[in-house]
Amino acid sequence: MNITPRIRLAAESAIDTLMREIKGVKAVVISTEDGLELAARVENTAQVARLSAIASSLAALGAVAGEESQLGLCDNVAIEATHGHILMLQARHPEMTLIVSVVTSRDAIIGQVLYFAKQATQLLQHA
Amino acid sequence: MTGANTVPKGQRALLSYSVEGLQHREEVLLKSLIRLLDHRTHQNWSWKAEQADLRVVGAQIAIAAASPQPAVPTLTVAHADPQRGPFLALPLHTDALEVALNRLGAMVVHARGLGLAVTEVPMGEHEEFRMLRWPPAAVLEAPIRLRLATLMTNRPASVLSLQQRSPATRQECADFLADLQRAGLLERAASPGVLVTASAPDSVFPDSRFPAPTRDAVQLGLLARIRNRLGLQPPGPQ
Amino acid sequence: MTVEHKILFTGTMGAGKTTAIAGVSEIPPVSTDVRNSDTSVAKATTTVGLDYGELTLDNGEKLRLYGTPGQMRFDFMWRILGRGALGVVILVDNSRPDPLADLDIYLDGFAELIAQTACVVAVGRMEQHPSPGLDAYARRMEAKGVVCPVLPANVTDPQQVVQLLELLLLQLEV
Repeated sequence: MNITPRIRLAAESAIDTLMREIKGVKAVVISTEDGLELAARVENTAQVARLSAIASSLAALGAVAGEESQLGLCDNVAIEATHGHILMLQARHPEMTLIVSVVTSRDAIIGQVLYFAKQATQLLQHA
Repeated sequence: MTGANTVPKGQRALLSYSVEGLQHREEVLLKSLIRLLDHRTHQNWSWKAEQADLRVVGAQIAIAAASPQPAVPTLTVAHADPQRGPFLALPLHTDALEVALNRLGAMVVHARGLGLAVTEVPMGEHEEFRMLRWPPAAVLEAPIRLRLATLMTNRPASVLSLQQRSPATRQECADFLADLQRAGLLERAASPGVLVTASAPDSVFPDSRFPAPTRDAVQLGLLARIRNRLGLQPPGPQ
Repeated sequence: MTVEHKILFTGTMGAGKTTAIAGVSEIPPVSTDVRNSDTSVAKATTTVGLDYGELTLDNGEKLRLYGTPGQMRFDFMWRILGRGALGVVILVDNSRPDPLADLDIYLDGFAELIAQTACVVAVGRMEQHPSPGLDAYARRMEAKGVVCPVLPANVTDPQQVVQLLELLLLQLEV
């Protein structure tokens, strides 16, 4: 992987912010669009071993769904599960597209998660 | 100068040769040349430690002992001809080697046809065998053999069951299994059990006593439809 | 609801899964290619979801052709896509440093599917890269208890892809 230091720093900074600001956050993973992990912070390591790859597949399928429905580019994919949520957002930096995945417990407030996650994504895109 | 092999894409006979009493350097050269000549010889030749179709020997061996099996030809490779039968002079020349191999190969094939060749274990047409490994290219020269080998990948087969499931003739199926056997790629499937169709050898029932590996039954007609869509011929006897 | 049938194509990045499907599919294939960030492989894009093509049979049913991502980190996709498949075509690129090790990955990753259905191994770029030879592949598969057709194939030629499918179907005949 050829990731410039600037992007790498921005990714770490984004993770710091999200882990700090989001109530109920369990993990934040930033990965390449082809499924390789770039940076991550987690409460339980085993949890996110494959999240990067899964996120990349979901993002790609989300893109297909968006195109097929003629809705344009897919910005994020949201999963609601019994014990929590996963939000996967596209961060389209000119050098490369990254995927930001945020895993939260059930008591997280979706609106808040979305707000901070989008903000972090914006910053990443302009790194 | 002999021309390239112009036999149409049928299956060449698969013959083996052993080497005894040659200097190491000569043996290595001989084996390389035979490999190189494979695209020109009328039969396919592969080296075997013993019980081969053709014995290649040095002068000492030729003089000392006659071939243990009369139907197995012996080719002497030496500097001087000991007058004990087929002979090739050293240093080896590819043209002379090619001619010798073709001539002796024809003899072996003829002997096989008469049932005189080495290790011919007769094979019953209901006898079921398992193919141990995908065969080497030499065994699959004739296009029909690709199909026959594929049919054997998922379950045991006999001469008869191969014939029923493919456009191949009974002889083609028998020859194929015989070649697999010679190449050490066949193993007898477990005891065939009672032959239900003993009284009707050309029965329409599939001749395999062994169930295919567990798989959900493929929908009736599906494979035919897929074949049709891809423009392929149906698989059975034409 | 239309009844569905599917065949998988798998193999390493650049082995030709997308190409193979494109040659046979009656619709332009759907693909989920993204930029490849793996600098060890000289390929611009890689499949992260699936490739998709289809053929319509004469009774209206569809035969769906799925290409899987090649890298091991996407093996969850192998499982998902493999469910209910008729069989799998494994495409190997003989120009890679260790194609037999590549083959192992897919023999392991699709072991259950292979045992229960059908499999064909197609080796690409053999003319320029003759080694390992087909017999080496056959022996490698034998070591894993797999006996299935292995042959050279150039998947840019649709007729050769059809031949691979034919060999798959032959294994499914009762």
